[in-house]
Amino acid sequence: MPLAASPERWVDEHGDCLYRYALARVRRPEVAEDLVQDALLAAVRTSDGFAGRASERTWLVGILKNKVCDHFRKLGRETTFTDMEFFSGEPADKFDGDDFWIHERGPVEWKLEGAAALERAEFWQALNSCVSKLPERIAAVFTMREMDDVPSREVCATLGISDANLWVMLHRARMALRQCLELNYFTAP
Amino acid sequence: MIEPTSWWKAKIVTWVAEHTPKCHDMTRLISQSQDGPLPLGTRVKMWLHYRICVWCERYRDQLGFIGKAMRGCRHEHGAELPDDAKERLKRALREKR
Repeated sequence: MPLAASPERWVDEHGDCLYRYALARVRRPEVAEDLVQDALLAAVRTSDGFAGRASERTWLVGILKNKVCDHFRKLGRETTFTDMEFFSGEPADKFDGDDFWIHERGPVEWKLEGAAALERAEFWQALNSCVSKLPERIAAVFTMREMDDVPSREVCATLGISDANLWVMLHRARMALRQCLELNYFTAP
Repeated sequence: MIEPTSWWKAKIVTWVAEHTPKCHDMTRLISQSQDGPLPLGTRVKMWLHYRICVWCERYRDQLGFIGKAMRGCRHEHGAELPDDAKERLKRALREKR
């Protein structure tokens, strides 16, 4: 069955959906667009492979998912200066000499609780901008784990990092993100 | 640590503080607990620590909240591929054929 009569149709029918999927994960519009293009071109090459087992959209998202994964894999090969800087900036000033929280600098209560915050566009903006502030590789690790629940082992294999390294990256990502959200959303005036 | 209101509570708080992970370690453990179950002994110690430390308890709840939010935003709602980008994509697909 000549299914791919018009791959251009995919752009109109699934373009936005694919773009959103990529953008939520890589956050940079130009990178997201490139990934969608890579995925569609790959789909053209393999469109005989689409036997209608799943919906066309599911099939395309599956291809895009692999492209996002490849993108993360490339990031794994580069250790950047920002990573090092990020790790050296451990906020030790939050703890006293005995490693207990200094009360005034510890986590404060978040006024706007759970569900209420999730309904607000400002919260999503703050979350997005806070994740964007993480070094790219660390954001990738965090996104894979928290958004897609990729098993730790798989994340390690994709980025070529050790278990210990993964724990440190996730720990630091969460700590930085919590701090950023607290400052920019939960206690913002 | 919470401010104890009597001498025997002070004793308990001190004992728990000495026998459970320090807050700095707690932040690391709390992060790890989001990625898989920790050994029972560790979980018991963490539970005890929360009884005397509202800051770590908040830290745990807030990390959990962030995780929940991340799982809820698998799709960037509302974002649309700009028209010029769509044109570029179509051109790329035409050239490929």
